[in-house]
Amino acid sequence: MTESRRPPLTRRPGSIPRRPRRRRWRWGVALVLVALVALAGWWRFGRVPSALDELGDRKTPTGQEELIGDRAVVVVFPQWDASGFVTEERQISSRDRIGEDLLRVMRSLCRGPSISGAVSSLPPGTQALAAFYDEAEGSAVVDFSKELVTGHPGGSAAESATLTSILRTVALNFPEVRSCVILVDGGQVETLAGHLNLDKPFDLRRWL
Amino acid sequence: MKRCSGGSKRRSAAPWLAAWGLCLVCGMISPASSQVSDVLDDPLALRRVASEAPDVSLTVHHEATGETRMITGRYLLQGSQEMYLRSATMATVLKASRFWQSAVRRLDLKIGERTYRLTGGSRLVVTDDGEVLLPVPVLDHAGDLWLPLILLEQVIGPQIRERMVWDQDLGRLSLGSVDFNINSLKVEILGRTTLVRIACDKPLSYRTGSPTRGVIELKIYAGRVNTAAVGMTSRRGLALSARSRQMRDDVVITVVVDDLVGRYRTYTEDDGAQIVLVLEEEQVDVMPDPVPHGHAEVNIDTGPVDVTHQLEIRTVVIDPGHGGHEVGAVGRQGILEKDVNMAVARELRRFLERESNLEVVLTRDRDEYLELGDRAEIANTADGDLFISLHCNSWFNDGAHGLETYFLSPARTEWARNVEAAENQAGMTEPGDVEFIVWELVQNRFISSSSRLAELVQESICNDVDTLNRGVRQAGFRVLVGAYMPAVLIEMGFLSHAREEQRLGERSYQRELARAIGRSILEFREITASMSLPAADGSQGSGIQEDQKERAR
Repeated sequence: MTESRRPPLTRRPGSIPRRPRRRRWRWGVALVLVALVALAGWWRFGRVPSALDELGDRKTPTGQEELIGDRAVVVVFPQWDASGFVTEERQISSRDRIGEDLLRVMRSLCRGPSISGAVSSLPPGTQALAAFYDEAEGSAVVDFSKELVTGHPGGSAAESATLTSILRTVALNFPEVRSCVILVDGGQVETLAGHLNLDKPFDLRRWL
Repeated sequence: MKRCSGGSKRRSAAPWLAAWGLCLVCGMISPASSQVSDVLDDPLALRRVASEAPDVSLTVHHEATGETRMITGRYLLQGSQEMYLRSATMATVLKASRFWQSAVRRLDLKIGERTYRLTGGSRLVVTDDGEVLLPVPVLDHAGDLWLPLILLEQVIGPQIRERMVWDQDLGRLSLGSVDFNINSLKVEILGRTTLVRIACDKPLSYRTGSPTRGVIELKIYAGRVNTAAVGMTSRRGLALSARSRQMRDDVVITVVVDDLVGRYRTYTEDDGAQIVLVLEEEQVDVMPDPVPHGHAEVNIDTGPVDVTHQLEIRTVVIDPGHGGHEVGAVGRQGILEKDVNMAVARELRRFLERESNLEVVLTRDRDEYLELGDRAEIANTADGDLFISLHCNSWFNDGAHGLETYFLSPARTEWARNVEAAENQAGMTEPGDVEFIVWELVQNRFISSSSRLAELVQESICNDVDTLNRGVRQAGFRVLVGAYMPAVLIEMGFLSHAREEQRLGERSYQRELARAIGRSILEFREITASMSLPAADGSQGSGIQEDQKERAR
């Protein structure tokens, strides 16, 4: 049927040759292909990423795919007048490794509160340098920079608040961690400000 | 004809298939294909989204902490009353981690060790315990996955063994249960004796007292009480009624007793996890035979009950905190904590020597540095009966002021037991550690009297001196650990607060503080002296103390 409707291959002199309909189909297919490729390109590169797409899989330096997600955490700060503690909810990126998450949470704690009525319990300039988790022992080690001691205002209220902020933050976010050691510049110190011992692991259940 | 027609269809489909294949190879439209499969699972899912649904505020109440906060959700499913939360909100509520696999548009919600796999448009939830089909689907809307609250109530809650209840009428989501450690109160009648048994999850330090005749109060430190279960409204034996109150850190159980009760005492059972209050009529013929653990036995009219009746106060050790290169807190005007501590300590010594025959020992009488452990050792060597450590407080800003008194936290001692157990297991015998733990356990014997002393000190100072009463607190202060006597640490004010710094630097204020502390020490001595009754085994209190000291040595 289709072939019978086609024009004869012969043409009259001076007339414009008509393009075969098959060629129109080819152009159509090509256009569709281009559109699809453009759409797919937009999907991958051009569209505004959704909240979830900000998470997702990444390639490691060795080329392996790994999941990077986020983790809802809480960080604990004392109230400005030392009357109690408040928690602030935050999100950290996570590869589901406790040691790494612990370090990110401690760094988040070092940044101080953004809610009103709370103060930072860590002296200015204090940084979380490292964190480790021993799954077999259920114990964690958190290492802070020397400002934790050198910049500390002293006083048992401030000293207790500093330890409570750190330890309660660990306890609330990492129930699998049972005890925690606090190091300063990679080493053990006897005390932060002369009241509470830092040279032993803290039982986190007691700091909730 | 048919064949040609068919050939034409194949030809026309070929470019589409080629394009589709090209894109699949590029991995560019796999999300769409995934969505298609989900739609096939639940074809109406995507059409059901009520995209114009407004945000609705709801309350999240954490039963364990009492915290309440507001979040927003949406009734996102058309024709359904199911509340939906964004995955990010849900993760925040559950303190969960989110892992998004864009290739399959799958969200892994990780709560502790458990993982919940969710896909937009699907009702299927893959859990560690198997697959669960929700009555409504997870929705993919506005760049996020929206999770129904029924996922919390029916799947996650039961699996992580946490109560999660959504009350739609109140718009309230209740999470968790209160972590009580004082669970019940039972009364047992043994002839003319009534036993009030208070069941705890673990050994808790407590102190008994009788604020008024006919009323006995038990203060349980670091307790969290189920007030509905700990109490009684009708008479049983000699106990007329009982009720419990949750204070900030502690629990107070008040027992109203019959006038017939002549004396009472307490002891513990179940390795300290059960506190037994024994109520006895004036004339007791039959006595129960409990195992005494530092129990007290006194007449009900004599007031507070604890082991202080075993103490005779002869020597008071005053410890001016810090010293030498360790200056302690520094005020904004430059006042040093070590100087204030020293000045008040000397004033206190003067007061006590003038007003009493107490022997007073200072751990340091000049500006020198002492190790924390050395201070308690000095007190022990001096045969001290009370240890008073003087300090000034400090804060990160000038927002805090007032006075607080600390005694050693019993929790610290429990930790020490754990460490001791772990070290025994591991065969660790580091002398310093063992010594530390032993002294910490020893100090635990005085927690009851230390708490009483702390309350007297706090009350006395706040009555006599114009300062904010910040209350009696507990902490594992190292300086208190090694003292084999009731020990408290007084934070006399905040050097970080301009007005308090100025006052702490004034001689008159230092003298005022010293006198108030001194008066509380004398009051404590009077209480202990008036309660120096024979203990249950017939021996004198002071004799027991000496005996205990000897054993500790």
